[in-house]
Amino acid sequence: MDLTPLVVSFVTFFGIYLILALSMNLEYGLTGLPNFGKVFFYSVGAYTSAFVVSRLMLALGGASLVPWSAEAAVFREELARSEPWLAIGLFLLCLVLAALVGAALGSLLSSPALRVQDVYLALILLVVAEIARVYVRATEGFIGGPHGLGGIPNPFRFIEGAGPRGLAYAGLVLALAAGAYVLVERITHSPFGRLMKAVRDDELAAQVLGKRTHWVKAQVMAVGSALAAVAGVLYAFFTEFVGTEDFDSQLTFTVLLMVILGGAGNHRGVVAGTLIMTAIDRFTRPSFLALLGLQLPVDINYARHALIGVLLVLLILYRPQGLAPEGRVRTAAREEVRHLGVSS
Amino acid sequence: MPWEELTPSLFQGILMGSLFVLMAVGLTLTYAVSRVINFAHGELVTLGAYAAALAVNLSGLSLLPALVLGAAAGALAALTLDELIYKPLMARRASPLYLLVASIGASIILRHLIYLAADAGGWLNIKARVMVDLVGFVGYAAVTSLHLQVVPAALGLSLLLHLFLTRSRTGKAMRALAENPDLARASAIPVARLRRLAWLIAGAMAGLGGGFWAVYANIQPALGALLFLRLAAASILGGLTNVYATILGGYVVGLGENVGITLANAWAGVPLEFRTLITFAMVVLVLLFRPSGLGDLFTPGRSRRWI
Repeated sequence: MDLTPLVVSFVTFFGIYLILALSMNLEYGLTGLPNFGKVFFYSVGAYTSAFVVSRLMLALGGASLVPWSAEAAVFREELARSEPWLAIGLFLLCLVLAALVGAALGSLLSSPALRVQDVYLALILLVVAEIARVYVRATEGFIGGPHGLGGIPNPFRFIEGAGPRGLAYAGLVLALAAGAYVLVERITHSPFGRLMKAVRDDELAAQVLGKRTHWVKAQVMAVGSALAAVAGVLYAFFTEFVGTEDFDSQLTFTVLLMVILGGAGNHRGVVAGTLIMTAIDRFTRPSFLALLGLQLPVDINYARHALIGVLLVLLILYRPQGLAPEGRVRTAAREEVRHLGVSS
Repeated sequence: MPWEELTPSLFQGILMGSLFVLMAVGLTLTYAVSRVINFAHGELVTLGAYAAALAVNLSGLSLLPALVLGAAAGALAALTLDELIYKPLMARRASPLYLLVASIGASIILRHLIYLAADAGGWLNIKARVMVDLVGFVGYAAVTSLHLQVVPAALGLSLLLHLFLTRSRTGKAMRALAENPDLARASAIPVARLRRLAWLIAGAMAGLGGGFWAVYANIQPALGALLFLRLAAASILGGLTNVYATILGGYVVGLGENVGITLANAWAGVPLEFRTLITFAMVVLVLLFRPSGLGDLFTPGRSRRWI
């Protein structure tokens, strides 16, 4: 039994979900911004990749095909196999572009927070995600409308064999997720991180102290949305296909559950929450159970979603702080005191 | 403007608007009385739809008792949700955002339990086997028996609700509870009982709307989830708190998605697939600029009307 595909999909999805969950933690956990449009910013990354790669590769390869046609997808896969640097370059370009577009849209969509309370902001962002999905689905000229767009070649296309290629990509995703973790940790323990918590805990008090709280929200949404868009790019290049069906709001709530399960405001807890949820997500797929020779009387996909709902409700009811409650702020001065052996 | 397209879309809009009214009034009622935006409200619709459809298809019930059964299923589920999830949370002084997240969880649970049951029973895509008769034509629009049942039901129940809220002692107490829960409790209003009643009414109307939907079109377990943002739009147009404005909001959504898109399609070439975008755009604009919705129309000079 070859476990490589399983390891690859587990590690890759763990990395992608971790980036999403950390960005949600930055917004929801630390700043109190319920970004229930998370899946929209994730889709922005995927759509950007699909759009840019499909057009640029056809233009560079000198082929005049319909970008979302099957022939074009095959052409791109072939081109990526023969021109490794082109594929890698395009992948990097997509990462940068998606992060920029995500940041711009994120800061733009933080503006409702100027006017409305958190619950209304959550509803607005949720509806925005739905608007984008309906729009992209009905617009064929963008990424193929209802059929989606395939042939977004993996940057490691030149590596022969699905196993080694998948492992290389999983490693890359994990490295980027680790980078995201370092980034959000640094932000959280910086003076700006303390400002974020101040906005969450008492916005009025922060304003009285002369802090421009809406600017804080815009910056947090920009960083969070850029991260989500990067996760979207990683997803697009992993599945090599982008369609609107993948960007249902159910994903937003799964990511929210990762944050609440791990402990809102605690990045280490969110890593644990993401690990648990990824395990539940990946090991309850029919394909995995078939691998074990298990045949269940019920459709496991429905049962998995029901479990997600049960966990969400039970956590909010009985343990809203999650597995790991938010720790205290670490500052350079406090660390120094600790090293001196004085209890602070 | 071609008449042959406009009149059918007008009648379709009235039908959809009436269905949205039936489904959305409960969402407004529960928000006003308990301050929970109940995301699981869509699943109450699904439950009602399935209860009615199965009653007709499996036990050969006629439409009226099947609809009553659908309403009962919705009411029971609504009461259970409140007692098991929202009440305990509010006793712990959970924030509105926590209540929202819990209701999203509740909606996910209910939806997928329905999925599991429907999958086991082979009912993933069914329709109530009820004959819908053609009654006649108005211009180019076909009027069916469904129109003659749904529109009076929506308007009649709205009128009943109005009389209940303005004429009966219990209804007045419910309005007091919505306006100021603390003051209501201090005035010895039986808060817990009224709250249960509000959830029962809300669930029953949602279930009834679902029952009609099972006659109108095929149903699936995701029915309520697919409808939720649109029926919530009617409620949001009602400022989430005003029943009268919600009724108006239901027709605005129904007509917007039918007459509105037909006009936009004829004049500006907007694709018909964008019909829900009209509703969603209204939701975003109202939430941003007029959180009290159309409620201002009914109470000029006051900031917000409760129920």
